[in-house]
Amino acid sequence: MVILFIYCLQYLVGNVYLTKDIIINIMDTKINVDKCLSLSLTGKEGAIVSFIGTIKGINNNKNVIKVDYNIFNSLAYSIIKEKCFYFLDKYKCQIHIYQYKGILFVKDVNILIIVNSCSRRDSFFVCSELLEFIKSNVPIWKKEFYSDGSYKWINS
Amino acid sequence: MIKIKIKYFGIFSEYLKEISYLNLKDKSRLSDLRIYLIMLLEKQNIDKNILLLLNSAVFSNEDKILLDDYLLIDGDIIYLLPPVSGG
Repeated sequence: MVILFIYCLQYLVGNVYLTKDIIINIMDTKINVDKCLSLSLTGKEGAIVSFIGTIKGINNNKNVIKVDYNIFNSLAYSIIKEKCFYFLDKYKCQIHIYQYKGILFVKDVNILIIVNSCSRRDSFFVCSELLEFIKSNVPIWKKEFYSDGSYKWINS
Repeated sequence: MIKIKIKYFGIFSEYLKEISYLNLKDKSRLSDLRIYLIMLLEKQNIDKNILLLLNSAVFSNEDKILLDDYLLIDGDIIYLLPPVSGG
């Protein structure tokens, strides 16, 4: 009964979009990579590919102190969800995406993408494509703060 | 006339936040809104980079990107999105 419920489930709870094969979580608490990875395990997959994005200490030849992630949640969920369904139609996989919203410091994790499937090729491909898609299409803006007191909106 | 609300993200939230409501002619489209905003900002001697960004910015509603030919209606809430910078 519980499994049937989860299989039929497709809903948005608070800030998490969840189906049997998709988790999209735009969160304002730090991403716990180990916990997220262990949550993604079903025992059926043969390949787990993950991408962990972290805050780099130097950008634009300046020392980065912190980065503020500004995200348009509802539109971000909508755009990511549509892309995930596109991949699920073509590949048998599970996709978990965690994106941080708010201020992060150097070495902190800003994004975690986990793709599980039976095929390593599918997992690598989907994970890489999703990352590139998110970087260029999802309404996420980064404001970098530097050690000299200045800041910059990236790409703006 | 129609009245619309505009909300901003990213760098636009710093420069344009005072412009939150606009009155536009009936049957205005997003392309008209873009031109109107550019004209408004040109008068304010705003940073030229913001004007350039406005030309390439995207409009959306809560969950969908809108094309420039979208016909605005009274009470619309429109979001102005600068180029994204990824996850």
